[in-house]
Amino acid sequence: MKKIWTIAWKDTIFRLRDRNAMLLALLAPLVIAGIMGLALSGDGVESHLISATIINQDEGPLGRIFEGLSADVNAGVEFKSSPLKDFARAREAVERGETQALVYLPRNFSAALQSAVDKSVEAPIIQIYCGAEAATKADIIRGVCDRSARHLRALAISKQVTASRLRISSEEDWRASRLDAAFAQEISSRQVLKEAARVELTTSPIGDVKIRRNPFAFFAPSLGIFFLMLCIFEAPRSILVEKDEGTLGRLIRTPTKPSHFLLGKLGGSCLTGILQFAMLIVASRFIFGLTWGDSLSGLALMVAAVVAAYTSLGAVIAAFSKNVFQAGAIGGGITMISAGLGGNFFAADNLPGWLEALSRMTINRWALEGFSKLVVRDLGVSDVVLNAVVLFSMAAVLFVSAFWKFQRRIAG
Amino acid sequence: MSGIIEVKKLCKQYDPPRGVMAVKDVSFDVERGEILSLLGPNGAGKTTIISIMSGLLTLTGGEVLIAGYSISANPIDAKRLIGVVPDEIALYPTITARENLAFWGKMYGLRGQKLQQRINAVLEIAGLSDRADQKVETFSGGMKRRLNIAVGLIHEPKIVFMDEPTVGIDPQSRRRILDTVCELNRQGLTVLYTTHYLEEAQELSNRVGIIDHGQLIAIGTQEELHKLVNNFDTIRLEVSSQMSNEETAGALSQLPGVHRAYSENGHIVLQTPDACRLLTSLVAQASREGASIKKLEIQESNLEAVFLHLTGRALRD
Repeated sequence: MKKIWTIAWKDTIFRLRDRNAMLLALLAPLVIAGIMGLALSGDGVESHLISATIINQDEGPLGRIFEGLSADVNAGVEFKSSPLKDFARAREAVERGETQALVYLPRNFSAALQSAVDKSVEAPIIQIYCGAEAATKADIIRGVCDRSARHLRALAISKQVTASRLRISSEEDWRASRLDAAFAQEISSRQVLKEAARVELTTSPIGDVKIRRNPFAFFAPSLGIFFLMLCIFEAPRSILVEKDEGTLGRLIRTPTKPSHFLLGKLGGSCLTGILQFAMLIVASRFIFGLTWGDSLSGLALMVAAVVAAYTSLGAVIAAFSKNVFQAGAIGGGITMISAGLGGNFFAADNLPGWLEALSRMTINRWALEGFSKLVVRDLGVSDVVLNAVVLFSMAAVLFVSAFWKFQRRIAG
Repeated sequence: MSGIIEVKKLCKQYDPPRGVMAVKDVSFDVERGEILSLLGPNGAGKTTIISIMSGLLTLTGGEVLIAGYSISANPIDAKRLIGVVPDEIALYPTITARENLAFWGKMYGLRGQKLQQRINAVLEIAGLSDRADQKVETFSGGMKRRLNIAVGLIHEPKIVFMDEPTVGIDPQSRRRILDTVCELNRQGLTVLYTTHYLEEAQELSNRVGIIDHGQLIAIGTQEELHKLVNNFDTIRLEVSSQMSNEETAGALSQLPGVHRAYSENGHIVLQTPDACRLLTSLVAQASREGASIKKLEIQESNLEAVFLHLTGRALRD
């Protein structure tokens, strides 16, 4: 263990002492955070609002409240009610460019949402349809809808609890003072911060429509992941540099297990990656006011998982490359393909079926989805556990592949 | 008694079964406290043998035992006992000499005060105490070579493998390194040394192994090796003549005192017990045969002659 740490620390110190690496490690997060800040949270947010139309078919009271809750321009989406009742006709309005997205509340919205407090009843389905102009902002609209649905669910639970408790306390009014505590307990035990409604998303294919600059949340995790990928891919290439400079041979000749050596090299990459991402988050949060969600533990879990997965992928690239230049070329190609497939450039929901399945095999997709849950949809650590598990699993598989190849190369 | 290092029928083939056979059936022992040099031209297989013995490459046949530990079965135990000085300068140039030594010391399990003591000791051995806190990239080639050796000694090994440690450095640094090797050996260190400089092998070694084309073609003390060529001197002639070199060599072989004469690579090679005594009659005989001597080289009995005798070519070819 000490040797793993010795190698990891040595690599971290090297990178911090290297002028170019220092620039990349310290300056790049600030520059990217600056770009995010200026582009995504600066002036003119008003003019870049996504326009979405709500088709409220709900027969109960919650649909109207949903409209009110969703009309929050700070989130970057401007909701309007529509007199249209037919979803198909409303879609035509989107295609004509009269609105950018539709949010469809079903007839049973209130009933299902109130019943959904009972776990045996299925959650109501909110359908979202995005036109070409809003395709890349689908996650933002979904995030707003999620948030509104969660508030409504909390409201539904509160109502039920109140009714129930008032009946109990109708003979003794002093018990009413305990209602607040009861609310808190019930709301907590029923985990109202979980997704309250199932949100189904469909988008029209992106044609040659020019997509305007639009608000924030989609781009923050996307840029962050892309940046992290570039940084971390640089690190395992140091294995090849050590090979060229002869120090790899010397390391192998020390009484160190090959697995410890590889873990040490990857540990150095992880330390650097975590440091850089932390800087990006802190800089964008405190200098430019960008929010990364409310769950620090969720964010930490996702950063660790993403860093582990990318580091292992970098190790595989290094293991299978003949030299530093080849590793650079392969790494660059994989970065671009993963970013394209994984949704860094546009929402992966837009991809056709088979490509969407392929997208699920990329680190970027799971990473972006996890970060979006935290940043866009304000979900918590439990909601990104699946993403983290998938990413850690990818990291394990990639590490084993890299280790296998390294051992073969060393033996050769 | 078996040595502290035992190499038995060592084989290495790259990309088996059709790849190059880099080392073929090499066997030798190294006694405790001995300096054994492996002498051979570049590409002979010396570095491959040391790389296998130090656990960098896997062997494809045979066995290497370091103080009884197999480098294949117990690599960690075996590696603890070995210090390795590779032929390339395997150091981190952007950190200081002291930091390099600290890193490599930790990789051998040294920590705390013991590590600091060893760092100071090997800096002293390498004569780099006054440059300890300067970055390695500012060092001259000779200083880097010395630090390269210091790293190999950081964990106070019982055995050190030195793979061409004097390549590409100035005579002063080379002298210092050779003196260091001798001094360390006097203190009890067992040294396996590879070189293609026969002077180094002659100066340092208790025994010399001659390697060519991946095979150990002879091993023994220098006396034992000289006996292989009967302590003959070698005369190499370049002549201009109507006759072929083979015919001229045949004519010169009749001279009294010539043990053997043959043609090789455009030269005529004569082996004789005393080259100086033969010279007068050699020039006269060549003249009688109508051959004018353009160039003449005398090589006294040494490892070069042994190598020439055993391989049919010069070490420098």
